[in-house]
Amino acid sequence: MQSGLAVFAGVFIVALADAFIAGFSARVVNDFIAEGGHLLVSAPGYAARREAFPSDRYIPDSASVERELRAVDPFLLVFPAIRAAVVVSRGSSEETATVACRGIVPWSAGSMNPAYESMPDRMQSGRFLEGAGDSGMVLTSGAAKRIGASSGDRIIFLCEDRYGSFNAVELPLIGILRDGASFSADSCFIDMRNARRLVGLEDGADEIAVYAADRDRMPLSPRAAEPALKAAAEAVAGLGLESTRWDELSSSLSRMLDFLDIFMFVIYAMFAVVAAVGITNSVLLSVQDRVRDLGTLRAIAFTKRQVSVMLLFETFLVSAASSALAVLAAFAVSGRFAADGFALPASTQALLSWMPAEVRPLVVPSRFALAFAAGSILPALAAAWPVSTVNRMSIREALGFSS
Amino acid sequence: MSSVSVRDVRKSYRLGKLSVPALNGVDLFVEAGKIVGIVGPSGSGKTTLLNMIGCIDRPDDGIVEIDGINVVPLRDRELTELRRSSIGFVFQSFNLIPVLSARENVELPLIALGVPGRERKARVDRMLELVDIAEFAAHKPDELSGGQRQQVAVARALVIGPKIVLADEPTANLDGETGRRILSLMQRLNREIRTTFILATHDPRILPFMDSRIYLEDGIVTRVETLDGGAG
Ligand SMILES: Nc1ncnc2c1ncn2[C@@H]1O[C@H](COP(=O)(O)OP(=O)(O)O)[C@@H](O)[C@H]1O
Ligand SMILES: [Mg+2]
Repeated sequence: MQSGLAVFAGVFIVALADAFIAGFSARVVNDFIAEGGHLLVSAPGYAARREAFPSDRYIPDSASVERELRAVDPFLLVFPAIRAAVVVSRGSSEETATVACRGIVPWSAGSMNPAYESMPDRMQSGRFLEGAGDSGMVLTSGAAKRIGASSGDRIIFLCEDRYGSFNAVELPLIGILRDGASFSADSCFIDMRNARRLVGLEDGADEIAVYAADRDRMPLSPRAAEPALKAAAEAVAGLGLESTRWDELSSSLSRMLDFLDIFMFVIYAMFAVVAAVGITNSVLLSVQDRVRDLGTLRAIAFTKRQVSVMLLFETFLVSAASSALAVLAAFAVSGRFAADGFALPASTQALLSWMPAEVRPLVVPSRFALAFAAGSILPALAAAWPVSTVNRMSIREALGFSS
Repeated sequence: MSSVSVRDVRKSYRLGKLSVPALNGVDLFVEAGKIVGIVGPSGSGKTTLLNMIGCIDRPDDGIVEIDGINVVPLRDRELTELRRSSIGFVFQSFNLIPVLSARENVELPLIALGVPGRERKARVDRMLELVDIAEFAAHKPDELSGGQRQQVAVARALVIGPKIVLADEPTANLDGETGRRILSLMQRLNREIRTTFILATHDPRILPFMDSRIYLEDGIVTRVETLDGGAG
């Protein structure tokens, strides 16, 4: 009975922790994919040195690549982008700021770019780029303050183009963004047409983000996206371009998730060892309590093996019932938190940009089944040794010495 | 019902480096269908001898024959087989399984024998009737008096239809009146079912129930009495 309680607690904690970890990993991966896409298409060699802008490696005719990708699968969302380091200033002022500039397409074939879905909520003033034909710039609040700009001002952009000469473009500041965690503090977003003018790329792009989305336009989980992504990668290779998967794009993120997996496995293994020792002990006590009864069973009718099977089966029944209850309880608690979400402290997001604001546990049926199986079988294995100790006794010893 | 023959059986126990002799060459013969008492003071070797006859323990030396077959060289499995099909035990402290009801305790040996459920129920019912405990069938051992527990223990020993019933001081934990009642129950069953009973005892009040008495002292048979007066 005591071991039943221990099994219940152990399986409950492990299953619940595992659901939280699974939910956390899925959330981190989803956030990462939402921001950068499942696949990044670029000129060969671009992804390896993505930080140097403007890049001398670019996609010359991005529109034809986009067409090609949509032909692979109509549900692929494709968003070309340009990255450049630019100097911005207010027309009338001496103050300047260097910002990371992204030329973006916020909409494609009627779908919003998942990377910018949250932007409208993050505006300090003005608006974010809206619709395919919109133009203008959006600047983060820190940089806007430094150059003394507010919504509606006209901003001068200075940027070195592909050919080594300086270009200047004037654009209206249509909105100011609160500094956030998911992009670097000094950033600006401008429409693709003006970005091309700025860096001197007529029809080109630095990169194309590819999302596999379902009919409701939500980015798919990496596994569900797999077939479409394979086909897309082949098409891209056929065009002489390079494609990089999300997990290759952030090797540190996928290493972190792998590490988390291993770490949790080690924790579970330690749990299992502690539980096994505890169960061995409690079965030993319960068996020693009943030595005379077990001796009686053997004296009147049963073989050693039958008695062992009875004891092991007894342990198995108790632990299987406890494990089943524990998994159900973990399922119920997971469901409760999955509905409400479990908020992580804000300080963690400040520390790690990819840290989600909240976690919702994710019940993975196969892992719950595994927790149940381990919780049922492990105790029976742990009971094997104590059971064998009574069987090593002779019947006379087990019945006890009485004269 | 079976005859039992014990010839020159020796047994000693190891107690660390010490060897404690318990049986020092016991010879005896028990006629089939009788109630036989093994009588002797505490420590004289009664329990040890019953263990030899009941195939619970093996002698160091000598022969134990049940119906003319020497059981000493049999393997553990074969001994278990023999016990579950032919030998019934009644223990001094009843040794009922505390978590099981009276009926379930009686059912145990039949389960081990693989008797199908329906027949099992019929046999258990008949047995509980026979020992007059049917109305307490659903009670757990700790809800029964000492005498009732021993009645259940007798039912459990007899339910398989054993050839021999061995009882080790069956009245030691009972008051005199209850002890006599249990013994007359055994006497009645012995007549009705024609089973050999071998009882170990040092309780003089139950001697009148024996067909013959084998006196044991320091692991040696000192005297044999039979009811028709003969002594040896
Ligand atoms: N397990 C044992 N270990 C050591 N000595 C034992 C053991 N069982 C019995 N003996 C000794 O063997 C002798 C006979 O014991 P036993 O057969 O139990 O006698 P009885 O049942 O007549 O009282 C006694 O001296 C007892 O102390
Ligand atoms: Mg004794």
